[in-house]
Amino acid sequence: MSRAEVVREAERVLQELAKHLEEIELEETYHVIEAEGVREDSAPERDSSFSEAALSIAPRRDGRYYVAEAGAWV
Amino acid sequence: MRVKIGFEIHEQLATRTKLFCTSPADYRDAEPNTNVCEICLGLPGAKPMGVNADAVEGVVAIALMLNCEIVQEPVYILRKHYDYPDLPSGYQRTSMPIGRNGELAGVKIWEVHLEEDPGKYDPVTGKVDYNRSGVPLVEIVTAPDITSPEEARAFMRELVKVLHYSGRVRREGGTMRVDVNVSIEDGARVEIKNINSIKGLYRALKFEITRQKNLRRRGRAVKRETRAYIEEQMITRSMRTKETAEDYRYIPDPDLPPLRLTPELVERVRSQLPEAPHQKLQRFMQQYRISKDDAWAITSEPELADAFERVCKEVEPLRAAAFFRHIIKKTLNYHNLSFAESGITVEDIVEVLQAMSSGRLSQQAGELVIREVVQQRRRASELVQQLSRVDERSLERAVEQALAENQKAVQDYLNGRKEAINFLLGQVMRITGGRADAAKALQMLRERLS
Amino acid sequence: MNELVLEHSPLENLERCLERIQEREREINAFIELNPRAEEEARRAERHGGRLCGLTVAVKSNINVRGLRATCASKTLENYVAPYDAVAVQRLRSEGAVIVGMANMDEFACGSSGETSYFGPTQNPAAEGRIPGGSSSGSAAAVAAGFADAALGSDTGGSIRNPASHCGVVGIKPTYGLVPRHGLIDLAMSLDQIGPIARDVRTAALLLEVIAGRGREASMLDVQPQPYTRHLSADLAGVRVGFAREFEEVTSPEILGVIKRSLRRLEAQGAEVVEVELPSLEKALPTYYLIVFVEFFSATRRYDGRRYGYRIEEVCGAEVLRRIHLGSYISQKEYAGRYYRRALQFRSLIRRELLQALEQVDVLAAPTTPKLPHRLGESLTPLEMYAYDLLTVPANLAGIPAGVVPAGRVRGIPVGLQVHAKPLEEQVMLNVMLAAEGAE
Ligand SMILES: [Zn+2]
Repeated sequence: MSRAEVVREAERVLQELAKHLEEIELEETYHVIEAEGVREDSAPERDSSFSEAALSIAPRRDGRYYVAEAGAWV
Repeated sequence: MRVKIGFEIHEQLATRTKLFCTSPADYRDAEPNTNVCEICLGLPGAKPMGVNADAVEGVVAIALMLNCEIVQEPVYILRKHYDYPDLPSGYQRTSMPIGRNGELAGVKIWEVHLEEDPGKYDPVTGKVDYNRSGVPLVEIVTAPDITSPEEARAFMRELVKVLHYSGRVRREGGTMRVDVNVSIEDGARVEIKNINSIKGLYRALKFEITRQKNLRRRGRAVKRETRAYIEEQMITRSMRTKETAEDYRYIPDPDLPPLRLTPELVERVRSQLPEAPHQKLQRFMQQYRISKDDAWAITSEPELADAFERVCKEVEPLRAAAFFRHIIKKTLNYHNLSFAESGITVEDIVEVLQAMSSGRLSQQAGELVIREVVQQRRRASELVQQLSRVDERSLERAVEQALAENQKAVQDYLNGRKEAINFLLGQVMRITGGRADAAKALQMLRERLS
Repeated sequence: MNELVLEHSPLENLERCLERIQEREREINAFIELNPRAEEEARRAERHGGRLCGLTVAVKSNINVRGLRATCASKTLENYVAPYDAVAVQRLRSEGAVIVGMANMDEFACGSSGETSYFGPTQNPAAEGRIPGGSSSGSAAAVAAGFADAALGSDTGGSIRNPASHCGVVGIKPTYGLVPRHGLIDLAMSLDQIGPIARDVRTAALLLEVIAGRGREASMLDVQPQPYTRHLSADLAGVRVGFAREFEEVTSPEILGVIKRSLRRLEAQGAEVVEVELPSLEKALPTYYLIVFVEFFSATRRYDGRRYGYRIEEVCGAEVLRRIHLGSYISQKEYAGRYYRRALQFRSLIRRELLQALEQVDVLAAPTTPKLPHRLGESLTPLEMYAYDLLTVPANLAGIPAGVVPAGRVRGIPVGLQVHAKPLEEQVMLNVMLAAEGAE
């Protein structure tokens, strides 16, 4: 199946699914648990072996920099 | 033509760690891509830690100082999706408003948010440094209440002062970013990005308003667009859209529960709130009985105001105020430094003021000491020693020496050329290294020549 | 006993797993990558011990294991060597588990058959020629084939339970927020949970108690790990087991037969089976998928080609593309109300119904899938594929725990009984699973 066909078919799938969800009056559930989700500020942490490992898998790099497209946003 | 200007101001909060991880928030002396972890690099699978409470409180404090009401409903943290090389996850996290309906200097503050800084991307070389990624920012959105570049500048100065007073933002400078929207006579709204100084803001507005007025005069419509301010050329230029995705597809971040700004939290922050600049100004005028102009100059920076209060424990306030406004503030402005950066201490100021009031130091020498403290990073105590006036006996000796070495000038004076005394005075000053009291020296010369 | 006693030393145990892998992996395709340091880890386990000393574990390829590739079975991440360990992986390691390798899966966990992997489909070791189920296809297959003693999977809408059922092993989706997700690559953040797969309930329970408990991430429950294995008991006196009539309407009769026999077995061990109602069950599937589309779209924005080499839309398979496209479409400002927010409203409804049903009982028993696994290579429409998830998505929508235990076979094909419990009531769920175990 071509990518264009997938996209076309996807919209039919969506309509099939969405037709079961009629309008209702209820609050949305964004989170199923109550968590505080806040932490105290603390002493900073740095792991140089991690930052090396992360940089080493970059498809393009220049020294310690990651490299994205150049010139395209100028 | 009626001009409407509104702002979105972003400034970094002075926390130790980033907003959603424990990587260091201060990257100034760090090698590129070293202040990072899987969270702020947006690596696959990384989940945000709890929100940095210090950053949340910082935004609450700033919102309160901007006279905002603090939102009581749960504050969701949203994902704002757009595609740009500095965004490691393809979305930026930004909170729903924490403060609303504030006011500063007659300008309505619409909203105050908490958000994360993206990384730093150089569009020319393509290099990306994620040290900045995830640093907490406060975002302040104003109503388009401002009507001229001059007003804009005055408002921004006031806002910067309030942020500074809050003690919650980075003091190193250079981290503020302002997006400005400008429209004329209800024409299309143009947004200008990439402004990072008040001077730049003023120039960008001057340019942009002229540009829009010219377009209208020629009967052409102003296009709704985003423009970048080009600092070097002092112009704005239509910008390839970075953050102008037609739709950010905001969703509450499923990885982050909403913030709850409980009344207890708000009250705690409120009770610890530093005095606002305008409150301090009023208090200084009353408590120290100084003029409004003096108080204005002294309260321009909280550190300067604190220093003033400490100096006033040792020195008479009116004299201190004059010295702060005319000597210290002038020196800071000349060197374009803040008081905190200047290296001047309270001890330095007290030393100089006491030396001046005892007559050991002239007004000019006092100013010189302050300048030397700033430029040479030396202490006032040793400088005062060097610059304080010579005593009577030394002055007498200097006068004798000047007369003995300049017989011709003496003769000229005695022959009626009265202006020759100025030359002799100059010689006395030279011999004493400028530390002579000029009036006294003149008096002595006249006595000796009469 | 809340510690593992293996028959063999860690090194011998690993050898045996590797032998079986040598024999059958070419046929099963359970792994994307084997761990070259497994032997080293086994030796370390011999020295340091731990509650899981020497237990061999397969890790689903959407979980970060430092130094191994977390590909999500996609070309998108084929070169992504994880530079950090998921929290669950750290916890396994610290108790002496040995990571055998990275298990195959449906691409980005988008699938219920194990067929959408960029690295080829996985065979069902327990039912030749059939799909193993998904998306934790390789994890369940590895355990079923004896390639590993246990596995980590992830479950967003049944991805642990579905292949556990099809492969005849035990699988647990814990309460949302019980196990840290840090290191689990997202399908849908509000639904995903990491959970264990094992050949028996006790091993699965032990794994769960090792990986459960508060981590540093924001969206977690503030709870300590519980000693499930210590309190494990098959005595069901006084335990009320719910079963909803709506399950019968959607499940094939042959599967239903196995499930009913399993319920009678529970009754024999003292349980009381009670009928409950889930009137909105049929809404769960569309609700689930609309939420997944949007969250998955958001999660995949980072695969823009800059950092991992490929832009996901250019290299992914049809199902991943379909979900990204729909997620992008329905999260647009003008459609969000009609689709995404509507789905979140239905999520509230389904969650409420499930929690209400669970108020009347201790656990809710259910089939795991409505039908038996299809033959590998058989072509299904997207909606036919989604229908596999009908009975597993409610637990994720509600955030409650659900486990699957082998309950019998139909024509030789394994069928698992699914047991749901209230949030954080994993213990009673495990006890009921233990009682149902050994039906074959
Ligand atoms: Zn970080």
